Amino acid sequence: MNTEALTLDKLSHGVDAKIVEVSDSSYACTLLTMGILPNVKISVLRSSPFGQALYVKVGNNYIALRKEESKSITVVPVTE
Amino acid sequence: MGKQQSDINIALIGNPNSGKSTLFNVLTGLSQQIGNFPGVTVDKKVGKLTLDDGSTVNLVDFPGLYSVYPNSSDERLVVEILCNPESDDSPDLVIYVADSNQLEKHLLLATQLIDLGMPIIFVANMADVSVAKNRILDIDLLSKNLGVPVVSLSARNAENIESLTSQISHWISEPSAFTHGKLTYKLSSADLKSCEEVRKYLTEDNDYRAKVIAHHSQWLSLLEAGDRIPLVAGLDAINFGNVRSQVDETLQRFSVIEPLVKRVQKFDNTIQSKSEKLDNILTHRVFGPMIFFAIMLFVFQAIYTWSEWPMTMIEDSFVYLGELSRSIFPKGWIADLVADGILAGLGGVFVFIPQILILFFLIGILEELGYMSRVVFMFDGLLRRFGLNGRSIVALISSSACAIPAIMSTRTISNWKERLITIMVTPFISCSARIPVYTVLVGFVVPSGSWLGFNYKGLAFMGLYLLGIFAALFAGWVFKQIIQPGGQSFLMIELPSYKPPRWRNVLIDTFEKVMTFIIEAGKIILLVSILLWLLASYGPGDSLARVEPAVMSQVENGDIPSDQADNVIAGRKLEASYIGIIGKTIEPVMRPLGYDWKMSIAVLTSFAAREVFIGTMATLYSLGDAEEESSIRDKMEAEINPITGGKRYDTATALSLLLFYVFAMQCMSTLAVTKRETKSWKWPIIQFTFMTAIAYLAALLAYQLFS
Repeated sequence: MNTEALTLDKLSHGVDAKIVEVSDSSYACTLLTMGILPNVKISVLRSSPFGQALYVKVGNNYIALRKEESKSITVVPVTE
Repeated sequence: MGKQQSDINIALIGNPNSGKSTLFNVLTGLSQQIGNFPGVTVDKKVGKLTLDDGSTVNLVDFPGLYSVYPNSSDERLVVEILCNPESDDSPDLVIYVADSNQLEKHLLLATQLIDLGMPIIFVANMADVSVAKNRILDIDLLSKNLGVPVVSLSARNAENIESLTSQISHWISEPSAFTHGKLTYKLSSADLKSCEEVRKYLTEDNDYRAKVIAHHSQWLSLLEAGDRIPLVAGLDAINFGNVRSQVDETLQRFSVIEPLVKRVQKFDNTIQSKSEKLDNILTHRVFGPMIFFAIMLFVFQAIYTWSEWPMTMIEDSFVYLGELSRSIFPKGWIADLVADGILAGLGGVFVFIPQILILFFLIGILEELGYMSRVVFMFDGLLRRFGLNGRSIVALISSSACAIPAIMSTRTISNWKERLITIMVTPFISCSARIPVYTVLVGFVVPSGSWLGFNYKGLAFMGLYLLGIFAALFAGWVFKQIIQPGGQSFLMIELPSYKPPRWRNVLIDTFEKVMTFIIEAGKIILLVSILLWLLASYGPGDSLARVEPAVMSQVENGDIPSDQADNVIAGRKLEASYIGIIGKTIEPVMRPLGYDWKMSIAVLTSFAAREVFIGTMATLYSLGDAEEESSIRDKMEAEINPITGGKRYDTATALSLLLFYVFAMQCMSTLAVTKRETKSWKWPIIQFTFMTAIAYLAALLAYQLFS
């Protein structure tokens, strides 16, 4: 399994990953406050019906993000 | 305390979804008042909280906030107040509300408030859920680590509220015990330099507050205009990295918070979320939108079926009140003003309460359940193509009842451009006031009968709704190309687990929305109704006085049946009045759309509010007080076009009128709210012009093609 770091928008659906970092952007703080923190478990459950948005599980919470918002999140897939 | 207790202001602050409003409702009951914070259009909910000794304090429910680095205008307001302890809105005590199941996230803002030196009581809310989930919170340990009192309670079940009120009493008697929270964030040397810059213009003792002010120096209104420019330049000169510093601070806070939560709260992590399973279906690519449309279908079905009898009841009561006022006041202008001006105007507002109430009640339930955030997620991608945001869907649905609360609901959209476009296009959605007009006119366009079991008229109705939706999306797309981008656009929305609705919240929320409609729409409709009544009751010279003798002589000649005399007089008087003159003046403009002077008057009077069309038609067709839709229809049906000799309301004319009502901006109240929410006359003027222009063109096209 590929364990190289990639941005969240590239992560396959249903694959567990760990957050590495959130890059600087005007919404970086909001992402952090929504629980997108380094070392937290993250996975993408599905895309929205009209595309462009992702249904994301972070830790034990669920949030919706746009694809471009998810590009500022770097993750590493977790191999079990 | 130097202050009188009744002057004490306590703020409820917390993240969205922390149960803050539920706690506010529990603490204050119905003693709530809604005002505005000075200078901004953010609702300020204030209530009175009665303490054990019978004294009362003011409780203010602040808009939800994630951190002192805000995204939306509502959030900015809170930060503005927190940055300015001198402000009148600055609270004496903060009750910080956190969800005990989300402690990590919710502690972030709490530590920021403590660093700002605010006196705080920390409320660990939703204790009932955390107990059910086997999470045990060590309140004393948390309190020791934060350095502020901690109370665990359940606002939803109103459990343990007294431990909070007794802490408040404790604070009143011993305020100094509450101001020594432990600082979490250590300012970096870059931060300290930024503080020095800020202190050149403001006296600010608290380092952390100075840093926050440095971050927001671009927009904080506590900075005088003359100070802002040199401060921003000074911060640039020392390379104050705005975003980096915010991110570093947030990460440092979480590095303290994470281990803290592990120490104070033990929990069992194995429970798989039922919400996740539900969402496999509810937000599914195909089923998700289908389920949403099915729910909307049910909602609208409910609005029409449930509102029928209360609407009839309200109409009947206003007819009764009109008759009553005529019997109380002597015949003359006072009686006319009360019955035809004031009561008619009020009736026009109150009759829509049932529909608006049912819609907001049902949306309130969906919101409380947690479903609306899923809808925002599902439709964000689609709506963005039309310059809107996923959050616009709430406004679009609401405006099918009334555009006024809908426009006010756009405050949750953080991006100015998306919010503005939502405000601009929302009035295209067919609101309750258009329904009576559609009801009367649709029959002239489509025959009775059905197709595949669907009633033709029902289908035509649906077509008119869809037309409104398409117009809104199209206009959004056009605005998207024209309007300058207004900063970063966000979706980033929490998808909280599904919860049974808290009825108290749904009811209070519905009540507030309905009151907004009554007050905002009511005051303007009332004013315009009185104005219209004046224009319709008076004419130049003695032109109105001459109508009655002329008609009476025709009655004596047998040209007019005597039982019709009063109605004919009313119609002729209207024709001779100022409004009749205006109608005839604008007739040439309306002629290409197929409207005669009577319809022109009805279109004009509809600018008070669309449903006035029916009342005007009733008067014009000399129906007196019989405002029965079916009888108006019969009269209109029988009307002959003097030019063609055919029916006056042929397909082309009725279609032209229908299209005009779908598109035209005929609601002064909405324009007033647009003005208030955009803080400029520019946008309501543009809104009025482009909507009415589209209406005119569509009506023109329809009439010219079909006549």
